[in-house]
Amino acid sequence: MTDGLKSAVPPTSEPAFDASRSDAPTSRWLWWGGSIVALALLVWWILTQMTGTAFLAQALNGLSFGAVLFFLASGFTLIFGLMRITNLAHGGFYLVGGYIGISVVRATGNFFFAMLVSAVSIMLLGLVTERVLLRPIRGLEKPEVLLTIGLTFVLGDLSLAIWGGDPTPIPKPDFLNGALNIGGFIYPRYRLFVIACAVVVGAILFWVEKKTRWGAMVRAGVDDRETVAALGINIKAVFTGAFMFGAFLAGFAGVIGGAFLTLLPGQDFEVLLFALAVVIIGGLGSLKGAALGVVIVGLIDSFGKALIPELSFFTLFAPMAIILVLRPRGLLGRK
Amino acid sequence: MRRIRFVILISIMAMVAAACSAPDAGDDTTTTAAATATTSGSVDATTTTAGAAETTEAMAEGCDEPIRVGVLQPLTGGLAASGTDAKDGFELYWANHSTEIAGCTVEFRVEDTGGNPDTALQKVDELVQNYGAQIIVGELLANVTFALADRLKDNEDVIFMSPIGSADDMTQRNPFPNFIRAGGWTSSQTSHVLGQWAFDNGYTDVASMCTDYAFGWEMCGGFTQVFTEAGGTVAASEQLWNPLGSTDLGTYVTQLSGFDPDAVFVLQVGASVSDFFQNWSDFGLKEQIPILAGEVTADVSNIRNVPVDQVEGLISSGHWAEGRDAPETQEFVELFDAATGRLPSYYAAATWTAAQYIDETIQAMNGDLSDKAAALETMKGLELLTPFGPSVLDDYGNPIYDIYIRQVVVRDDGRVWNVVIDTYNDIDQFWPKSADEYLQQPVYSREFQGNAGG
Repeated sequence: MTDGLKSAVPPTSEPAFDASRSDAPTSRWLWWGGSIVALALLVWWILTQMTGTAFLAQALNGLSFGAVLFFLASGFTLIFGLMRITNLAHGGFYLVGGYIGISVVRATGNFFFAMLVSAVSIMLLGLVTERVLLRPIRGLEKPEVLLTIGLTFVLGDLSLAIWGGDPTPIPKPDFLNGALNIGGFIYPRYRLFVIACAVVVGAILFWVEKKTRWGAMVRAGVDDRETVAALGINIKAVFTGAFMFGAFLAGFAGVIGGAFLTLLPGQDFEVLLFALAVVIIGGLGSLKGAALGVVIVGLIDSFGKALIPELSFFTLFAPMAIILVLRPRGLLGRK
Repeated sequence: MRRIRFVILISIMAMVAAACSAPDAGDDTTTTAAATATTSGSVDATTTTAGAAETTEAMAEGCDEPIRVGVLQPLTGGLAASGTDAKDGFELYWANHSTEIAGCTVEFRVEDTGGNPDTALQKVDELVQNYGAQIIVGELLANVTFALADRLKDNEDVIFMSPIGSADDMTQRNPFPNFIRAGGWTSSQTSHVLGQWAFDNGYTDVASMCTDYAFGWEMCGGFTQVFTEAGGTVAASEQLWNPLGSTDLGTYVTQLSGFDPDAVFVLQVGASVSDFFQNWSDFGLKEQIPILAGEVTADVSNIRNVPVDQVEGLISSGHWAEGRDAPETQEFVELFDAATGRLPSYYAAATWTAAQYIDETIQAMNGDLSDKAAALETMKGLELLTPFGPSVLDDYGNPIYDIYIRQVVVRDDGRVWNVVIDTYNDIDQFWPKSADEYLQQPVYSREFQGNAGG
């Protein structure tokens, strides 16, 4: 009915019908139906390549790696969505957070206390970064990007000077060491713990975004900053708060990830790269997108390494390129 | 839309930067273009701090000019920790030995390459032309070593020593006239021995997991060829190759456990070492499948921060064993530990030994290094007792050593180190073959692992 009306209108008065962008139910069906069929075929093919147990283990490997990325990507995407800042210092926050975690674990022996101390320290670092460094260049894209990437190098070299360059994992608490045996299926406890953490933190984030006044301010700020400011909300304070919260999550990720991926100079760029892949695939600025992105990136990374190990970087970044071509704003990105 | 393009651009930049901070601890490829690209990016940003320049004082009396040595190591960037070990080993030698030799004074200057071939070439020109270095000692990375060797090959006034960069072909199929590996090794030299030892000790079916670049291919190939020619099996489908700097090795570890082998040969570098052992123990495999590690993977610089229970008992082979019970080794270990608070890695032992070779050569030449060809011949003729043990050089300028089968044990002070559990005497880079026979085959690569089973 609608389509009929559209085609009746002379082409000059209305842009041409664009199947890929339209919200018309048929093209949506095609889009999602096609994706689901392709996914089902892919899973079927993978299952012919490995046993069910191996499949489950690899899926969990991917999800646990994705879970570490979730803490990074959710903060990154929050900062971008609200402030339009591509915060490339996020990797540096992760690395310094991890190193602070090591020092605290060594001093107190308490892993969870280290998480808290790291997250809070990096939150304060975020406060200083936002107030002192970023505020004067607010809205200038290139200076912002250069400043945040420069900050990563500074943080990296400072960590090298303070903590040295030897690869260092963060010691885990005893009850998270070793493997859990669930009816013959053996899987590391720590990885399950990381997945559980991500689910809990993710649920809290969604709840805050949807149900609280703070979340409402953030959502409003993402949509229309000027109006929010005109309504008497201190948008600058919201910005600072969001940046600090993003940094808090990065510091938290540093400790969770440091016990899992090992800390080393250069790790900052590595995790940043994965976090970027996540938010680009999921859609910049979207929390749901970040959640979807970590699942996709984690699973692709894991199954890519298992099935075609020599092409593991290709298998990860080729889908990213394809998604960018088909949906330049990511899977769940807004126009 | 513009914003998105911009982000893509930045992400590509980040990708390059991430790749370049790839923490390969020490030895790698002469051939992969990837590795060259790899090292070039990180350094642009990290080496702005000029390298620490250090010079010993005092002028010579017997010589007109001091004998000057230029040392090139990465002191910033991802390899800084290993490069600093190398620098410390070299300095420690001269802190404990007179720099006045046969009436001449030895001076040296350490420069930072940041692990970048371009920077290294700039610094080596500066060292040779302005500083007047007659001997150059460098570098950790094989691609940088190769760039330096290529720059120096026509310079008859310079001797180039490479105690760490270990690419096989530099002393095999593609030697340089003024290049000498005193204090060094070739990658496959130590893993050949581990292949033999593994077969002799009852392993018959081994899988492997090595880093996917020249150093990994050479280490893995050395093991695979000797082990399979002795009668063992390494199925090509059970040889896993993970890219350099892979994040999260859990996937590979899951696959290895599915192969159900007698043992796994592992060669990882940098952060991947602790990542590997973490996963190996988290998946509960440590008690089930023994690991046979390539030298660098078990080097004390890579395992000193890994939780002790994850590496205790680890078997590896190496030309260096800091826990070797011999005075020439333990004297050095104690000196290094007292000076730095660390147990010395093989990087430190290597540069110390290079300094020892320089010292002995100057003595034997009575202070006159003007004829570099004669000095090289003299160096090749030396028979020294080094921290590695007895060392002589073959015709290609590569050492013939005792190679040790090592095991990680915990010391009384709680730190881990590698002690010797078996020794293979006088192993050259071609063992167990002859040089002629060995040089018939291509250099090890992913395609050529010398696998006797095919």
